Amino acid sequence: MFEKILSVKPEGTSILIIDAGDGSYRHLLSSYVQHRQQQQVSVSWVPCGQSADELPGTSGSSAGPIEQSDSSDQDWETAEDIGRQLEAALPLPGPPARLLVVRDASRLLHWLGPTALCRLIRRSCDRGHQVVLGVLEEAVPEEHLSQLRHYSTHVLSVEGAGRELTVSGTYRFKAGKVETATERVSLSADLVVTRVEPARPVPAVPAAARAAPAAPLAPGLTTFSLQLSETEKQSRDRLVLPYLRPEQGGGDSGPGTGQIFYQPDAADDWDEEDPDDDLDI
Amino acid sequence: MSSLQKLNDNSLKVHGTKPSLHSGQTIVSSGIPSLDHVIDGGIPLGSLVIIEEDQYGDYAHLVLSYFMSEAVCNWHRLLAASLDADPSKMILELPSPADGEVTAVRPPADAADQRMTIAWRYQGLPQQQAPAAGRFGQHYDLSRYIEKSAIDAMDISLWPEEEPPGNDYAAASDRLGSLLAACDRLASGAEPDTGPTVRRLAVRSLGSPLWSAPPERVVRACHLLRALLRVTGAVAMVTVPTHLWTDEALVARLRRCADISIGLESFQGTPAAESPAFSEYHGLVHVHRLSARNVLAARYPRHPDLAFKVRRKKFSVETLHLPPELSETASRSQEDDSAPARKGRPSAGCQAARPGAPLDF
Repeated sequence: MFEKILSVKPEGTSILIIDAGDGSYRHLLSSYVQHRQQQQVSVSWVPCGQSADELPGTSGSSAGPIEQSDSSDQDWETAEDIGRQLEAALPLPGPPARLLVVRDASRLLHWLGPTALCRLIRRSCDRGHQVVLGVLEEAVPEEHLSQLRHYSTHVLSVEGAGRELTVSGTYRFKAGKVETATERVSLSADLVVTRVEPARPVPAVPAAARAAPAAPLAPGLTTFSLQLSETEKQSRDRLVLPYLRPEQGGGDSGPGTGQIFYQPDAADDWDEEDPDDDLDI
Repeated sequence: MSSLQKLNDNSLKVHGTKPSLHSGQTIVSSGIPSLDHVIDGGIPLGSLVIIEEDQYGDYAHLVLSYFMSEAVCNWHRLLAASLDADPSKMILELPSPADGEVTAVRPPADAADQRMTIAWRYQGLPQQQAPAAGRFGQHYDLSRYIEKSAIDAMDISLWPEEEPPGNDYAAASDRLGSLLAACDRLASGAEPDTGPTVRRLAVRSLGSPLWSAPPERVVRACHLLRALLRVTGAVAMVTVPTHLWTDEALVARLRRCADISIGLESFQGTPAAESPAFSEYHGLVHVHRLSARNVLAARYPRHPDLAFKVRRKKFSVETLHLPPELSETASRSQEDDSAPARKGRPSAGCQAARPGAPLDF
């Protein structure tokens, strides 16, 4: 599923990457941006209150007005300043499709509120461009996060540290198809996606452990014995039920093969003849 | 003539309306015949319908587009409003009627009123059939859109007229006020020359994050809108993304603000989508409130579990029923849960533990 969003046409879509707390989403974000740059897509980084030097992978990105004005990121004084910069970051409608990257949406959410970001996503997608946002789950209220999710085409939750990430995603494709998948994504040292495989689900607790046997009662509490002693358990295990076929109990070294021994008494009419022999069918 | 002649029918004969069978009020179709059946025939004039959107909003917008298509097919005046989508694109993507095309020219209301010269004894009898043009409730084909030429010939207003600027930090109340003003202009405007018609208001995603309005203001706006509809006799359908609201009490207040309140829950992206029980349906319909205007009590559907499914030519709302259980091994699943026997030795107990053992019955 993650590979699908790398391969399908991204125009008019938006990706929201939510980090569960390790800060590892930045690798995935940078990896995706690098992947798009390799496809000759021009990338714009929206100022989020950090200088452009801190952004990995910007050395290869196309120079735009955003990177040149990184020194003004630190001169924010009012929300209007940020709003103006956000407005300037919005690409004009029409081809070629651009990729708009918001590295840390949590700061923008604190300054401007979710409406401005939702509007940015909506207007960029309407103009045929793509938006990728990264956000730390703990840094924003759940209400704002749900509003961002509402406007995002694909929502990825990232866990893990380093280059091995677990990505649980909800992917919306055209024609209203929605798919969810949890995958393990491996990134190489230069942030290229090397392996994507479905995450192995956590094995369920085995039934034997779930239904733990009751703790043995202290002797003397009851007048009758509820527990089996060791010898009794062994003899119970060795018991061969009489109705099992011989091959099921084959290889058994214990005594008995499950035969039924019947002693007819005086009132029984036991003979070996088949009573249906004289039927003429 | 028989003495049981029907008196002159005083109700307004407008395209796309009919008197309700149960209450006698004039009702209009929502565009989905099976939904009309659930809401007791149709939407009474002067009512506010609130559709609570599903998770991704796709099906709620589909219901709204059926509402707008019904307006266009019956030559009703329409206002299409949204901040989440471009209203001009919304009206160009309306499903076309499944049978027949939309004609831009509206036939006059009294076309059937002709003086009979031969069968003059039948002149005074009421018409047996519905008006020839503009049917009440029809099916729409999702693969075809209504022609742009037909749309241009209709009386359709849009809100907002132009895309608001990005640095639009106007207060939320301004936007809601502007929307209500546009609704007022449409609903209170003069009647067109072709005769009386129904005014329909379609608002998509009212109260979404783009409105930056707290839910209390949205509820208040709906209240004002309903008052406006009562006075003017227009009909409004509004979709609201209530799944983004955290306060359940406000959602309940919103439902009370509406005359008809319906919630949609789709199976997209949920485990229910793969469940065999819901394989025939695309989602559930929750009827929160039905119109009880001018009647003693609303008539709720007999079965509260409703589900919808979307086909290319039909959007059907029906009672949820599980598909028949055709599997023969369904009753034998408990064998698989037992612990497998150790090889060569039966396990403790008096039952054969091997699955599929021949003595199992």
